Amino acid sequence: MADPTGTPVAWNEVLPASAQEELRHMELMARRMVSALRHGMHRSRMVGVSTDFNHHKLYSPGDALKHMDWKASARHDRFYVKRYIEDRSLAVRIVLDGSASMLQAADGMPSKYRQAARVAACLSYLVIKERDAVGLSLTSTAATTWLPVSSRSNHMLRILQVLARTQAQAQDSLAAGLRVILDRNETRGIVAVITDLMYDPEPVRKELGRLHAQGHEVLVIQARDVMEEDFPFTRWVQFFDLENPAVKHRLDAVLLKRIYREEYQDLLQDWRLWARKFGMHYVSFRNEEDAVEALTSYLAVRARMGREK
Amino acid sequence: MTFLQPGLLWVLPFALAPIVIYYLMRYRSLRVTWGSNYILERALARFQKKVYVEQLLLLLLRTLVAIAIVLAFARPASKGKNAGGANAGIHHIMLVDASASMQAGESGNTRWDRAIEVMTRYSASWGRGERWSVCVAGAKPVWSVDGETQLDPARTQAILRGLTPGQGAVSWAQILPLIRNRLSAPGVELLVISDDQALTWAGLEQSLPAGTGSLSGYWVNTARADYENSAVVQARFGSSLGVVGQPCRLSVELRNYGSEPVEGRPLEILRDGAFYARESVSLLPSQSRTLPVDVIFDEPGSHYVTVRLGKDVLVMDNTASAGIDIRSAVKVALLRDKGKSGKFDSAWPLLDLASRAWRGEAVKSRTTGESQGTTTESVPVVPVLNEGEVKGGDLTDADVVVLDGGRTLTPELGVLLRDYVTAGGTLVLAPAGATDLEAWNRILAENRLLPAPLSRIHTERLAGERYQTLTRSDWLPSAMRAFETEEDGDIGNIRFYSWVELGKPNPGAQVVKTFTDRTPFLVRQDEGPGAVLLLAGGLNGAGGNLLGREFCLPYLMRLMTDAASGSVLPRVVGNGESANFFFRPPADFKGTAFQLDTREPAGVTPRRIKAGMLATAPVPAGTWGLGAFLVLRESGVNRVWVGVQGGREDSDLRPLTPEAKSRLTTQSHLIEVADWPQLEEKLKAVRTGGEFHHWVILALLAFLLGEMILERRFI
Repeated sequence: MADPTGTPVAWNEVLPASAQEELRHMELMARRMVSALRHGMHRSRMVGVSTDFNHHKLYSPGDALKHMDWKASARHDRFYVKRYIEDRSLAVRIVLDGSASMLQAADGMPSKYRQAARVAACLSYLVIKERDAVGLSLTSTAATTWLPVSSRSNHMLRILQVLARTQAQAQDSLAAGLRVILDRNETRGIVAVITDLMYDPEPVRKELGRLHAQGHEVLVIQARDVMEEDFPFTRWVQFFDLENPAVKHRLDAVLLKRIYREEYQDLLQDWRLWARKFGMHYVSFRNEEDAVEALTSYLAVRARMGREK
Repeated sequence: MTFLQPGLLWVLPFALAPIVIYYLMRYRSLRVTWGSNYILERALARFQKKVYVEQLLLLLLRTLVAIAIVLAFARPASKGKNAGGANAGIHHIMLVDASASMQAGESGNTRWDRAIEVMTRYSASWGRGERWSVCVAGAKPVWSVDGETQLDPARTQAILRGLTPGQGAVSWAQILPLIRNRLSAPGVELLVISDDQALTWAGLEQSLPAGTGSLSGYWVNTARADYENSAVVQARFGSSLGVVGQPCRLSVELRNYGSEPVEGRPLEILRDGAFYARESVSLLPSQSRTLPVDVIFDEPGSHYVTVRLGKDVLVMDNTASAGIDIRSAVKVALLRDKGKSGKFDSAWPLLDLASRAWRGEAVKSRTTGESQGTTTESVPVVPVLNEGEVKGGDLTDADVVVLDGGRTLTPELGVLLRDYVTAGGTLVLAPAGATDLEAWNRILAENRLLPAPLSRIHTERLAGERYQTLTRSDWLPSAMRAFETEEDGDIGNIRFYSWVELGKPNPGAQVVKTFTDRTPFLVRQDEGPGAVLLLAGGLNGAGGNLLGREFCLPYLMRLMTDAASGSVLPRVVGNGESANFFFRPPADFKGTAFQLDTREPAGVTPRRIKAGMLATAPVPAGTWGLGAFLVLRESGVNRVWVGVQGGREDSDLRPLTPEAKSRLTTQSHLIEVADWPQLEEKLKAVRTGGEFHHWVILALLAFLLGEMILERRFI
């Protein structure tokens, strides 16, 4: 992974020791975290044999008597059978936006890509710790990296190496990367898209919608740059597009500020509403925030939501 | 529109700084790599043309803010009715008081200097193309500049600085009515530059028609606390003729015009430009005093004396000069009756004694041939001529001819005497004792040589109780006023036991002294350049105690000198009068001129009269100083000094009383100011109308508010 200056970064900076330490503390919570993941709105529809009790059902002729809950029946003077959730292994596909726009970093801040990579690493770590499977896709028009879903412990290292060695470059091709998931007909699970959302949303939403329809649970995690969001300029600025350096705009930033900020917030709100509409989760954090903390906060909220269900 | 602080407008180009900054910032823009180009382009899509217009509007507002700030400090104001400018039709008229009082003050900071300063700075405030006039008020108003269009301010100021004050007085009451029509024309901006001397403004209230406001304008009062003035009013010799070694009495009249006493003020007397004597003078407020000063000259010729009073606020009236002719001797010729042979019987003994006393030398009788003492060429010889034996040329050299009383006056002698007098000589008639009154009355009257008819001879017993005496005072000839004190002789003790009773003086004759009983003693009649003096008491030693008293001799000397001065025209004239010089042209004579002080000499063409030539030089009014007739000869130039003394009409510097000044300014509508800054303030108020910088500030606030609102649209 290259930081905005292009200097390769060591993989252990993707998941620094402090983050690892924090995540180790979470090992006890890992199951709960993963369970939280599992407690998402999209659960396996398979109802079958497992140790996970789900609900009682009134006995109807043909139900297996071995599932009869005699205690509950005695209490209620009716006959109830237990129904169980099938306990299947969770598959998490992390799709990371590897376009050059992810290299944007405000002064003194980590780039969006680094933050996104950290989130991807944290998520991968948690999933693998619980012996669930995680796969990684790094998408850009220059290159797309595809790591299959796996629950093996050395898969984490491969994920970290990819995150560390891959430079964000070129333009985004997130839609294409998502289509690949569809084309490969991967096991339904969670598709966590980690991106900055700085592109035309329609193609990406289209693919996300297909994934959602296919039964995947879609999680959109947005990394925001402080400078991109605040647009703190008070003078004439010449903007050079990270994804296409030939594209540049020179303008009086003061005059554009209000409009830009409106457009930025409109985009975020648009995504938020769209995600809510389709039952997807939308998480957004600024690169000045701790990525791990942002992730764990989200997972805690998600766990709470699952219990309330 | 005009600006009260136009000097700040030079900052105006800097008000374009926002535009400059705009382009500087545009081309020195911050270079940033950007990841959210998608958002940027969506924002730019909304950044439509109208926003570009708003951007330009914002730039314009910023520029207007800067311009408004500069304008607010420059204090814009509307042009008043007297705003001026090439087409404004304003005619600037300056009336400047050029009287002597304007020279009061310290050198370089006199009232006149301040007047010039105000005028030059006033002229600098005009616009190019405005009309202007300057009237220099002296005895008469003189328009130095009349309705000229100002095209070159430097030339205007050069003209103003070239103006000079006069030495006379100014009366606005006389001058302003003469020019009021010009002052009351429309579009006139009047500036009166004058001090507040009461004499200058006296009578103006009465001469101005009430309520006309025809003097609407400004009065620059250049006077400061410089009102205490003393002056040498005049300095004159008693006679225009003096004799070497003999005191010539100079009467110096001084006056304190101020309200404070003058103590110990030095008075210097300069003889021919060199220090001669010093006096200390003290004068009470408004006191006049005449100081007698005796000046002795060591050389014959034309001389002058300058009297100089110690310096005060007005220097130009502290000096006066007087000229005098000095001769080595007064040549007296005595015509006597041959039959008078007594030792004391005629005027000769007295004249002889006087001559001896004068020089301490003896006198020779020419006719008798008797030598009564040694003689030298320097001794004044009193030729004694018998009346019947006088020929035409015998009297030519005499300054004074004394006709002693006798019986041998002939018509031929009368004609000779008439010729002598009309040629400039002075005839002294000394009838006494045995005088043929009928012959005298007839012959002298025929020849217009009798100032008063001789009525009868009184002869009383010598040392008796009946006699005539003279009073010390009431001498008309100023030279004789020396006898008003006993210092120069107690003429009150002269007794005439024989005298002639005179009839009514003829027209043109003047009684210059009387006996104590008020009957005429000395009657004078001027005949052209000459004169006739008739002594009722005579000079006969046998008719009185004249020889018995030496104090009579100074009286006789002065009398003779004063008589001889009749041929010398006054060596002191007043300004505005003519200086006259009678002379017999030398062999190499080329011409005459008259020069006053250091001015350029002016040629004078003398006219020939009977015995010589008379040169007349008019002295311009309002001037005084030391003048000189220049007799141009091939061998050089002779100078004959003439003092020009002006009247001190303007020496009283006392100002208007506050009440009088208030009445004057109210009636005349003149606005009094003390100096240029005050005048400038008044002019600004008239020329600039209303100040509207507060509107500019309101506009500035509006521009600022607009800018803030517009910026908010983009933020």
